[in-house]
Amino acid sequence: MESPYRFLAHTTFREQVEAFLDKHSDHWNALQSKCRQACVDPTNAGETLHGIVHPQLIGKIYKAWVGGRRKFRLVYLFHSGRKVVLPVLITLDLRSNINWNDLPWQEYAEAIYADLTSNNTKAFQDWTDSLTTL
Amino acid sequence: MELAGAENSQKSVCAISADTFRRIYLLAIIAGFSRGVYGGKRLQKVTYLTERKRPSLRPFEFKKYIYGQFSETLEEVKEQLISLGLIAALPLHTSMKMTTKLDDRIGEWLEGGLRYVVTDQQAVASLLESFLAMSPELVSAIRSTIKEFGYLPEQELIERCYDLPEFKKTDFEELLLEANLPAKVETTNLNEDSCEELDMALSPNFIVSMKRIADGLEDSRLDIEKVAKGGVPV
Repeated sequence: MESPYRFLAHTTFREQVEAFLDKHSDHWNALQSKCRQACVDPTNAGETLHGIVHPQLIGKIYKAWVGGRRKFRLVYLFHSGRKVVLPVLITLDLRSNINWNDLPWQEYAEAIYADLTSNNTKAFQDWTDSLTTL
Repeated sequence: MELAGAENSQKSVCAISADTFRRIYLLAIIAGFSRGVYGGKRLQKVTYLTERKRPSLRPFEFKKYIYGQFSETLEEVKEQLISLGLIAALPLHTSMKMTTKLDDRIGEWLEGGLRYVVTDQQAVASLLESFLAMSPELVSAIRSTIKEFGYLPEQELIERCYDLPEFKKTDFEELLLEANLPAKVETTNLNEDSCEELDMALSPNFIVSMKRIADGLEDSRLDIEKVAKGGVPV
């Protein structure tokens, strides 16, 4: 299986994944499988978020289920021009317990923005080969 | 079979946060004006008059201030809608640019009114469909208030608000109208996906942060070929 896209996991996402696997190790397969789908077919692995007016965001934010409906959410940005899938969040709690406004979005965003624009390659890991050669 | 049918016909309950509800409610009021809301005072007064009809949910509390009925929370939510890009504040032709000079710094601001308009009718319409399904009573209260008061000349609108009996008997900075929104607003008319969608699309924290990352991708100088390989940890 090949992908024309690069699945880039930033430090902030990798830390979330470690916490997720500590808490929900039985969902390792589900997470891996969803990351693979997002890497290979980002526009169909999840649903795009509606009701957005910022032109930079329309059709770029995706949310996907991990472990089935009502379980966990993977949120990623897909930039078709740069051919990049950038996972931003994997929830630790079930959907019904999440307050979307209270998650540390700003912390993630500032860290990712700084590393993208300063070419800090060490802050990212490219998971594409690992996901597509399974 | 009958049992299964009965289960299927039961509507499940889902909820959106009170913050989301306030945002979509104020958005519904602003969108209710066909050419936008002329002035912040008008927005405050029309919202007050809507809630004065005592709908079962009252999102904003109002106090008596210099310009009459005023809600600080409403001002905050208005700024959030601007940051979400859902509304824009355009200067009215009556507004004037004011300047002040302190030491070597010059400050500039606009005084004399702004018009609040919806930026993207289509995107807002899809959000408001959910609001209509969730709270038809409030939508009806908004429509009738805008029809009755929304287009009055500003001075007349203010005078009518000052003439209200509760306003006359309330002291300065005292509460005029109490909000009664629970932390989570439940509904059976939307499914869980729609509630989640509203909470995400109307979260300034989420949207502004995602925009920052999208900007980062646009401006990216990352040399992807030099990024180390890895995978989901085992």
